[in-house]
Amino acid sequence: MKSIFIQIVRYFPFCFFSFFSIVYWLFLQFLPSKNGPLNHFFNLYIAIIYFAFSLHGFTLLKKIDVPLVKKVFQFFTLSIFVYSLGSFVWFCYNFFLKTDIPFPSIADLFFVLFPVFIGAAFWHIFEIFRFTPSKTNMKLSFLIIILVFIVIFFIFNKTPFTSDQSLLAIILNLFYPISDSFLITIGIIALTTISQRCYGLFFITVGILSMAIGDISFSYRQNIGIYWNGDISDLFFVQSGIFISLGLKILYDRFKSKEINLPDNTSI
Amino acid sequence: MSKHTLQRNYFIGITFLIFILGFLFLIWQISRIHFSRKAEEKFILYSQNINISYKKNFEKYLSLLNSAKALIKTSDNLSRKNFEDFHSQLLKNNDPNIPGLDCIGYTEKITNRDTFISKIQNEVTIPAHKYAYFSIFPKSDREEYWVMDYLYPYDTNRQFFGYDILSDPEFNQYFSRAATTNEIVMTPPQYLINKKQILLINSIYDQKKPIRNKDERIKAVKGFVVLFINPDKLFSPYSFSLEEKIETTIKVFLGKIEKKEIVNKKPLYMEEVHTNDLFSPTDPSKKIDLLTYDQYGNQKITLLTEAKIGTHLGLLEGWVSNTVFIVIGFLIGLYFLIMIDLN
Repeated sequence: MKSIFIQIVRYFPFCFFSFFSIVYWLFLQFLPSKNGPLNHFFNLYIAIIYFAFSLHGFTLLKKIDVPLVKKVFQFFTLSIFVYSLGSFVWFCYNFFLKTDIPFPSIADLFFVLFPVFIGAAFWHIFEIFRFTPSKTNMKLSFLIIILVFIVIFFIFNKTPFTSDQSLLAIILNLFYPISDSFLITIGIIALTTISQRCYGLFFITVGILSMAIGDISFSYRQNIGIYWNGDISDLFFVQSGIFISLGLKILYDRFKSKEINLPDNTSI
Repeated sequence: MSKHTLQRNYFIGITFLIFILGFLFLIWQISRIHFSRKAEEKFILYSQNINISYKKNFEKYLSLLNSAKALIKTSDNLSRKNFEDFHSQLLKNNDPNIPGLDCIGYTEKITNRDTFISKIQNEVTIPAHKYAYFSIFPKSDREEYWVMDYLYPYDTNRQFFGYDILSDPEFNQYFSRAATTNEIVMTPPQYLINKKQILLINSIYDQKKPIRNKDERIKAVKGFVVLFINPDKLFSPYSFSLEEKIETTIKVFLGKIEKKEIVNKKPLYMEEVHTNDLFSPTDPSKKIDLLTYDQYGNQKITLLTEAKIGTHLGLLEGWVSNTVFIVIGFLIGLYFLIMIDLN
């Protein structure tokens, strides 16, 4: 009972911000105007959440000595940090330049770095656990990629033909869901191959999945011109950051309490 | 092979697969957007052609209205025969297929009912005493009547002969508006006796009387030239020649209506254009529409054309790109799976 209470207290901020995000998002759904200041502030809220969790990540980093583990945390924290910068730039476009949907824009410079850093973090996770891909892993990866691509195909195929988009917008609209398909694949492969129970990785994968749903929804809605700030995709984006940070925290706690054994048997 | 190399190969393998599929997606998306723009252009052109056809038709109506007005203004004792000959010749010389034109008529202001009735009953006609039972209807006792007098063609429109428009609860307001404004008035489609009609009304004034204001105009009105138009044919794209028809829904609304108000408005006219194109699969989720406004006489008209996207809009290429995309994607996947098994 006591341990459950400790767990709740330890992870309370994540639960609180996850719940608060849903409340804020629901509130925006009932507002008649979809491009008011409260909508723009939702992007600032995303930026602040991501920034706060990236600061939390940086403080965890200071406590880690093992270089390989440090790299994992570095890349995950960097991914959250660049996303916070992207969201802040997006908000600046909204608030100062009065551009409701700055896409594509400088914000995308930061957003494209997010999957790159997550991918790098997973590379190092595989290094830590000395992942040896089997044929089953390859086939499962293939299956996941194809499934994600089929979903993207059907969603994009339903997009009305009235879109008038620049080449960069088309590329970015495809880049985000496709890069997410890569992350989901390696996330699931990591979950299924790493023999030790690891809720941290589970929450990180859930975070990536949430980001993928947000990206697909954003690409679709932006394509057909119905995206607005505070849209369903934004809820998935904010939840993604919270889940990834929660996953990181759990991962850190498990490493520290030696519940997860590092290959060289060293603790953080 | 070392574990590190295997891990690297795994990452490179799936990255390569995703990159190839992503590149294929990009080409597919670009080609779809290209075809969609072509389809949109075709649709917009088609919608504009419909609008132009409406305008051309309206110009024909105006020309007929003006000719009839000129004839009546210049003839003091116009015979029914002259009225018929003039219009029969006019329609022969111009376009005999003016869509929806049912009748050209002249409605006269009558102040002395009995004299007017007896004059018509005693007209020399073939067969003799053709109008022997002529009367103004519905019966009412007033100082003034606006009676439908001259009609071309007469035989198919004889039910209107003698009809007193001032006693009509629906149409009299439009005749009054035409009289007071000296503008061409277009009525909404309504039943006139037993036929649903749109009327185009233009008033004729006594040239000796002033028409500076409403009161003077209503006093000076001598009669009205009226075109009877079948509402189902007036806006029907079937009734005018377009080079090519595409599967569209056409909705015509009275007045200037914004897009957000369209849902709650009942259209004046609606037609779903069907073509005989057997190979025209459409996807109901993909719709394009165009809203255009125009003014006919005093009447503002909103035209909404909607189309479901399909091969009829030149999207055959789009379907080809989908098929190519699926086939190439499948081949890439197959290659990847074979490579896994070979290694």
